[in-house]
This record gives sequence, C-alpha cells and structure tokens, in this order.
Amino acid sequence: MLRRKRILVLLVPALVLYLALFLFPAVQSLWVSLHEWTGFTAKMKWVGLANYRELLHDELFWMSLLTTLKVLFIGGVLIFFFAFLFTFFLQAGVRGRKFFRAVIFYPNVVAPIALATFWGFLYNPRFGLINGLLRSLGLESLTQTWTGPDLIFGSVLVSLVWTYVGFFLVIFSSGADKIPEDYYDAAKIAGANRLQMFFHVTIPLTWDVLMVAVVLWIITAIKLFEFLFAFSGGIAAPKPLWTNAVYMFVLSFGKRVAIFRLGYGTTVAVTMLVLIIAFTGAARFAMRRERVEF
Amino acid sequence: MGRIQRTLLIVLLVLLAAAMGFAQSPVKLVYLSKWNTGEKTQEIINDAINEYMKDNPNVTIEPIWAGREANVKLMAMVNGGTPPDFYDEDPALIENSVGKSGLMVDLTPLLKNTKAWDQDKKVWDCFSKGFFEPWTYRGQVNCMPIQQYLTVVWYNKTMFKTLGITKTPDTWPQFLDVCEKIKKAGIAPIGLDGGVDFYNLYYFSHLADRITGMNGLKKAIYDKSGNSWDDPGFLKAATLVREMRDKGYFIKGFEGYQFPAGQIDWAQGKAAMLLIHTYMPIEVKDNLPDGFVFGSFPFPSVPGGKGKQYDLTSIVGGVGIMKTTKDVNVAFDFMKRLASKKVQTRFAQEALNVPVIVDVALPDIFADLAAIMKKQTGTFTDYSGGPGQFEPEFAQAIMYPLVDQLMFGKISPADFIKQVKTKAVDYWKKKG
Repeated sequence: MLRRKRILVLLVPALVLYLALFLFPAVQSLWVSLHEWTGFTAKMKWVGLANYRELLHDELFWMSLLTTLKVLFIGGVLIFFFAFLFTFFLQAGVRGRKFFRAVIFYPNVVAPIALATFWGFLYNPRFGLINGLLRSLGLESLTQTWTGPDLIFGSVLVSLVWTYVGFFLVIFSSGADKIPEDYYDAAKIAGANRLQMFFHVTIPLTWDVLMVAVVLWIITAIKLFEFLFAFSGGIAAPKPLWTNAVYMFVLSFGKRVAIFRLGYGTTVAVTMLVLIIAFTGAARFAMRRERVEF
Repeated sequence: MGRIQRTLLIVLLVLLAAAMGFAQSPVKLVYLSKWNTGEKTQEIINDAINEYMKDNPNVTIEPIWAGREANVKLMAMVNGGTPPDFYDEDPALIENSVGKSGLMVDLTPLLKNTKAWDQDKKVWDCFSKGFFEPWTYRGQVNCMPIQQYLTVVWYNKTMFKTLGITKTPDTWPQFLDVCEKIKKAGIAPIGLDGGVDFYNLYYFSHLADRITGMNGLKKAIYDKSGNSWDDPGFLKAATLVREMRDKGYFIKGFEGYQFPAGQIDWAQGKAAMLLIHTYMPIEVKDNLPDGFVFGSFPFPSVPGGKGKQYDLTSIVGGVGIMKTTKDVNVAFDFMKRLASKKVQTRFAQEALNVPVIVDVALPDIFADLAAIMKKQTGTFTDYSGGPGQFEPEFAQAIMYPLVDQLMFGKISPADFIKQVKTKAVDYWKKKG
C-alpha cells in the first residue's frame, strides 16, 4: 500500500506536466473552435457549432482529409511493407547489418525542408535526375512531369516512404534483436525456413513493438506538414499535397496568402485530434493479442 | 559659499539632472520584420536601425528578423502580451491580421504633418500623388510602404536580339506573334513556376483587367450577386489563357515546376519571357549566363479593352506602428528614415527594389522599368498572391484551384467562369 502511494506521489509531476502541456491546450482548442477569431484580439466571437457545420460543406477540408487518409493508408502500407522487407533481410544475417540500417535510417536525420528540396530536384521535369536517367537510357517516352497535378501526390508519397522506412526499420529491428536466438534455433530444428521464422517467430514476438509503430505512424501521418509544405519551395504547397495539417496552417496563419481564421483553423485541428484518437484506438483494438513474454 | 547659494546650487543641479533624465529617458522599441538575416533588404534596415540608435543614444531598437512567417510570430507576441512596436510586412497582410483588429496606428496624420528626414518637405509629399490609395483600408493607412514591386514582363535583351525581335509587344496580338516566333526558334516563349498557384493566376488576372478595366477582377470578386462574372470580358480572358496553353507557349512541364525552378530556367535561357514582380532580378542574379541583359515591358493591352498598357499593378512592403507602442513619435521618427532618399537609394541600388518615393534613381538593370514608369498611367492592386491578398480566403478556396484547372487544361474557359460565379455567390452567402 505504502509502495503504491509512493508511486502515485512520484507520478504527480508527470501528471501535472501532462495536464498542463497536453490536456489543457486540447480542451482550450475545443473552446477556440467554437469561436470566430483572427488570433489577434483579446475577445473571440462565440459561434457555437457553426465552424463544424461549415466544415461539412467545405470542399478544401474534404479534399485535404482525403489526402491525409491516402498518406495514412497507402503510405502506411508501403512504409511497413518495406520496413518489414528490410528487417527480414537484415535479420537474415546480412554482413554489415548496422551499416545498412544506418544508411536506410539516414533520411531521418536530415531536415524535412532539405529532403523536400532534394526530391524537388530529382523530380524536376527538365533537369531532374529521374528524367535525366530515363533520357540517358533512351527512354525519353517514359519521362514525366513528376510534380505535375496528376503525379505529384504519388511522387511525394514515394519520397515519404523513402524517408520513413528507415525510422520504422530501426524500431522493428530493435524489437527483433531482443528475441533470444534459442527460438530461432528451435524453429530451425523444426524445419522452418527463414520466411517462416520471420512470420512465426519474429512478428509474433515483436507484436507490441509493431503496435507502437502503427500508433506512431498514425500520429505522424495525420500531423504531416513540413515536408509537404516545403515541396513547393516553401511558398504555397500545391493543392494535391494539402493534408489537414497544411489546410489548418493556411487557415490559421498562412504564409504569403494568409487567411487568419484561427477559430476555424482550430476546428480542423480538433478533427485531426479526433482522427488520431479514433485511428489509434481502432488500431490498438484490432491488434490486441495475448501478451507474449520471453 | 552661503547657505542660500548652496541650496540654490543643489536645486539647480537636481533640476538639471531631472531635465537631462527627462530628455534622455530611455525608449526601447521592438521591430518585427518579415526579412531574414542575410537578405540585402534586412541588412539595409538593420543599418538604418543602428544609425538611428547612434544618433539617438536614448533609443534602443531591437530587431526580430522573423522571416516570411512573421505573422505567426506576431500572433504569439500579441497573445503573449508583448506585441512589437513595429510590424514590417505587406499592407494587405497587416490589414487582414492586426489592421482589422484595430491594433495599428493610423499613420495618415504623422505622414502628412512630419517633415521628411533628408528632404525639405513632409513625408507624405515624398511619395507620388495618390500613392497611398491602394494601401488605405477603412480610411486608415496602417503602414508606410518602403519597398515596391511592380509587375512587368521580363526578357533577356540579348536573346531577343539574337531572335531578331527588335520591338517589344504593345498589344496582345503582337505578344502572341512574339510567342510564335520564339516557339519556332525552339525556345519556350514563357517560363512559369506552375506549382505556385498564385503565379498561375497572373495571366488571367492581367488579361481580365486589361479587358474589363483595371481592378475589374477585384470588383467582380466582391460582387455578392456574382453577376459581374457574366461580363464577356472574363470569358474572353479565360479563353486567351487557354489559347496560350493550347499553343504550347508555356514551358513544357510548367505544371510541375516548383519554385524557383521556372524562373531559374528562364534566367538560363530555357524560356524567353517571365511575367513577375520586380523582386525577381535579385532572386536570379546568381544564375545569369554571360551576356544576359535585363529587359522589361508592361503587360500588353488588349484591343477593345478598357485597361491601358501603362496601368501597372504593384505590391509593396511596408512598416506599421502598433497602438501599444511605447512612444509613437519616436517610432515614426525612426520609420521616416526608411522612406528617406538615402535609404531608398540603397534599397534601389543594393536590394534592387523599386523606390517608393519620387526622385530616386533606379539601378541600371531597371533601365526599361524607369522608362515604363515615366509613362505609367496608374498603380493598381495586384491580385496574384504576393505577400498579401485582399480576399485571401476567396483566393485559396475559389480562384487558385480553378485557375490551376484552367491552366492545366482540366476545365474549359466557360466551365471556369461558370464555377467561379457559382462558388463566388456561395462564398458571399456564407459570409453574410
């Protein structure tokens, strides 16, 4: 009993910080979303649920929500597929495992703005590396306007996958590294091949790690902003790249064409929070398993 | 020394100290700027601040070089109870943020009654007649412009000479002829960063104003009934834009050009002309090939149109004073230096800005521009983004997406006008 009380006392500072830095702003955001507010005045104008009603008929909101969901699901599937694939190969005893892992992780240590600029150059229709490579191989007919309205989302998605695979690879690998060799030895004796060992030993024993990774990706995808915004040279992200986070920024602060509707922008932010809670809750529910201890 | 004399001396010394203290009472002002450290304009403003502090030791001006997200910084400062004294931004952005909220000092009386720093006239009179009209909101001047950016068509004179183009086009048919000639020479007639939606609006907005009259597009945007969009001039403007696209006058793949790729390609001779503000030369100056000579001409007139060839559109950058300033007179005393001949000359020569006051020489690369400005028949609000927009939500929700679709060949000119009208009516209904 005394021990429990001590633990509770020790938890108080963290709880206070959590309430002050997360819960209070979240509740305040909900309050702001019920107002019309430029963000520059002491008083906000109460509009009740009008901002939420406006969202229902706001084409840009639905367009940006669709883009957010495409990033979340299509991007998520691709990132996890490649992260698993690389984990499989690296766990299979490739020489220089740490080196390859560091190389694949590398994009995560570079600022998103620098990455966006780098990919912008790769995709440039005239002097970009991709079209240049196709031309040098005599495949002029395959050159595309990669960052044109029809292809820009797919092009940016490829660069996002390239960026984030390394992050999730490191998470999966760190989980897989903790699995005792005995399990693999036993699987080998039982006649399992590497693929079977991956699916029947590695994945089940890293299930908790996988669940954390899914939650992290949901949060990352729904909040994704800098990379997309920077892709246009930082002036005005093309509309196919507008996620909810970009739209919220445009509504609230903007850059060169600023709208200053902080109340309405906060409404979009609240929907993002709801999305995060809903998707993480759903993911945790769908992925619940009996805990495997080893 | 007698007691009375001693007392008098002490009183005198106290009074003197008090007077000195009063005269020298320290004032600290904060200057929030949209410029980044290292930009030429920032360096010039910083020099002006340092010179002012040297001349006025009791005044400290603390600059905050916040870059183009200065509005985000401003919001945090205002809400944190520490607003700056100066806000350096585009007048439209100032109006849409702190102007409408009633937080800015109306500069009109200060501009009209204060003597200029290095000229024997009032600050107001240093600007050309009517200069402040486009930047007056609700009868109030929130900010004093210090840089000006006119919109013209840029070209490389050397390239035009090589192509045998001896005269720049005055009218739209002449412009199309020039485009055709350039295209036949294997060069893209027009460079464009199509990834920037407000750059894509440039051709439609200029054509619309040349046809329906200057600021005709602005009037249509504010027409709550939407009837203005029935003016055939707008359909004609959209049709001419579409014709340019269909004839392949924009650089191949312009839809995918992300800033600044398009203007760099133009500078390197991959495209012949570029419709953009006068801030462009300083952005491309490090990418120019040998023999490049800047040339410019005003957007051509359209036969039968109401807008004139020398009616120019412009955006400006300026400085305003917030009402919470510690000392409005000291603040303006500093600010007027930014509109002085000395500082404006530096802006022109070093930062390649068009001066806001009269009688300041333009740099050599603006030789054509100087000639254009001599014939200038009016200055009008620019539509196409720039640092500010008079109706930003309309632009983001309606004009930019639809102009993109028109420029990218996704919708016809008739569909474009129809959709703009329908959405404009809905927009204003929503706004009440």
